[in-house]
Amino acid sequence: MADSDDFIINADAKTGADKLLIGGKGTSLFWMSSQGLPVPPFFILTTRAWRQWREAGKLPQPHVTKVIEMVRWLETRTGRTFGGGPTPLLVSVRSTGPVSMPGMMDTILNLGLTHDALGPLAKEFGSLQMVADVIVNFLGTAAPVFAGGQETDGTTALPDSATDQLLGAIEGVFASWNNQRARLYRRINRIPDDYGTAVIVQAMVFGNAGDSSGTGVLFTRDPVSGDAQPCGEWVPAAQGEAIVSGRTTPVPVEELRTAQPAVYQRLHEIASQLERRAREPQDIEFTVQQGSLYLLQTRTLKSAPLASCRTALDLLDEGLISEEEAVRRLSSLELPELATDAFTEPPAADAVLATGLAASPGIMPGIIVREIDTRNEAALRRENLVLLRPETSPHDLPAMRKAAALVTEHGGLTSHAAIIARELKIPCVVGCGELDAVPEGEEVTVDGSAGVVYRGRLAVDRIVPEVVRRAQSLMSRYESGVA
Amino acid sequence: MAPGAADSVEGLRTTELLLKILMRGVIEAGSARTLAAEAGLGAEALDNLIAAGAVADDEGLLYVTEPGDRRLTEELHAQLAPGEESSMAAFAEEFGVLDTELKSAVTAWQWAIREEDQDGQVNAVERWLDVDSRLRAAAARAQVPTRLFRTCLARLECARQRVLDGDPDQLSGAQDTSYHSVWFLLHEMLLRTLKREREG
Repeated sequence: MADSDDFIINADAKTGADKLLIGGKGTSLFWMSSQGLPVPPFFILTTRAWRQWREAGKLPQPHVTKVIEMVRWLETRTGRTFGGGPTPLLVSVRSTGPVSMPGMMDTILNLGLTHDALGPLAKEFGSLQMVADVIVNFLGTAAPVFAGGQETDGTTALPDSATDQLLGAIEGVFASWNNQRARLYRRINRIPDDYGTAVIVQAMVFGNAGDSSGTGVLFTRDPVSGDAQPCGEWVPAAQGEAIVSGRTTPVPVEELRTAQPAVYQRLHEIASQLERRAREPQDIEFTVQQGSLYLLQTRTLKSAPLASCRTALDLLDEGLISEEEAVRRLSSLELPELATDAFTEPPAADAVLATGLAASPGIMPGIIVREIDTRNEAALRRENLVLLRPETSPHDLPAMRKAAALVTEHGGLTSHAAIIARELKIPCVVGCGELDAVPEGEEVTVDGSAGVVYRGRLAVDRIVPEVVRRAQSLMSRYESGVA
Repeated sequence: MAPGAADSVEGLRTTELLLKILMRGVIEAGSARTLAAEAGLGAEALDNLIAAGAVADDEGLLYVTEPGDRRLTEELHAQLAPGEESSMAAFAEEFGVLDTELKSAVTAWQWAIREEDQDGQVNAVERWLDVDSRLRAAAARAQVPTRLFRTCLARLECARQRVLDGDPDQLSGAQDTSYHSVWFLLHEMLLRTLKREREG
């Protein structure tokens, strides 16, 4: 067996950003640490350690020894003691895979909480409420792991030895690579089973340590509009999973600016630094413990397509990316789909022919047909056909594929018609009630976003956002070699 | 029983051909002949359907007529042996429940895809797989569906495998081969076999 140094590394290691070895989250921690940013100390059991664990069916003894050695290193770095007083060290144990599988694998918070640690922790932070919160988060995250992924009834016994907790948690997180949901996720997303997961063991910081503490996420740009203004969420006096669990209602991160201006300013500077170095907008997780800022993760921000379009152009204007790179990013977006339809004039109330459920968005004028076959196929070439059916049958599928919009008398948002219309990306209104009186050939306009069918062919404008026009212009100039 | 009904292997194949043409909507004559050959029938089978008025030939474009549509229902119903109707009706009861759950799971899947909600995608897939396994159990218990809808059940299994092999479009896609499209067809065949109308 190779030396355990090849399998377990700490934050001081000179490592390349090998995502296959230390996962995405691990790569981000090393990247932030290497820039001297405030990251709680950590060590990582790599995917090679996972492979050895899988082959041996347990963590090999040299790795156990190395983990204990790394815990001593964490103690030295934090000045705390694992599993006891006077200032207890608690850790988080998290998976970090080469491919993000959000929520599929286990995470344990506040591990190392033993009977010997409880009193000193309460004394250090002077709050029984905070300690109770720490206990709840520990039991809530650890019990399922120690129960082997089974449902727990709250009686799962956890070891009182901090080292036993840690070794059990590491093996539990390794094992969660093969839980049912993770396997299913990998299958449908074609992620190789043998990638495996690395495990991050990181010193806990406490966002629940009083009013000057909290946890939050900061987006360096607005993920919906692409506006180059940081935004995000902040939960005061809360720990870790508070935002993602939905147990607490967050407030806008700007409130941190009022509560702790220096911390907010520092966060703002770091966010800007990370974005400039990554040349991508960032999604940053952070915790503030009694006025000290800590970064827990940064990753590329997942934005709406219109926001991605705007960001690519803004980063180009800011000189952060080249024109070639901007075009590459814009090429991955479906720019024509970013245009939307809108009525030129608001429809009159008496123009409403029928109302139903908005099953598939979009606005489409056309003529009503009840069948699409050889008798009206020629018309199909001249007109947008709106297929009107009481409900749909499988033999309507060919007609639905040729229709410009779909209207049904019966059925709901989960009806076959609604499902197929969404797949075909055609406007659809379902459950309109009896429409026997509507003659074949009647001109109508279907608003699948509002769930309304109007009489007559209403004027519709194609709204192309300015930012999309700019993007299209850049791409056509680039393709013609002018750019 | 209608002419050419399901009292022989050829009758069964003719029913299958009629169903396939119906599912295509309007089809060129050459393609219809290919479908006939795939069903193990000669070109005369298609001519017979046209002559019987079950299929119309509009200048080389073929489609199933209303009498042909009724004939198809009669032929599917005729595949039920005496005494099998109650078993099929019990299966239809279970299918009704599963159909609602399937459509709900597929809708949740479409929503999760649109929102890029990976957790939601796995939830939807788990719900769908649960429905799929309960469908197979129900079909096996009733036995008759396993015999009559053998091809449909096999196509569902193919679609299921394709989704699990990393082609998620095969779950809700509008193409004939997707799980949802085949399920839709299975529902239609079940209704016709029992001579029932579709509701909603």
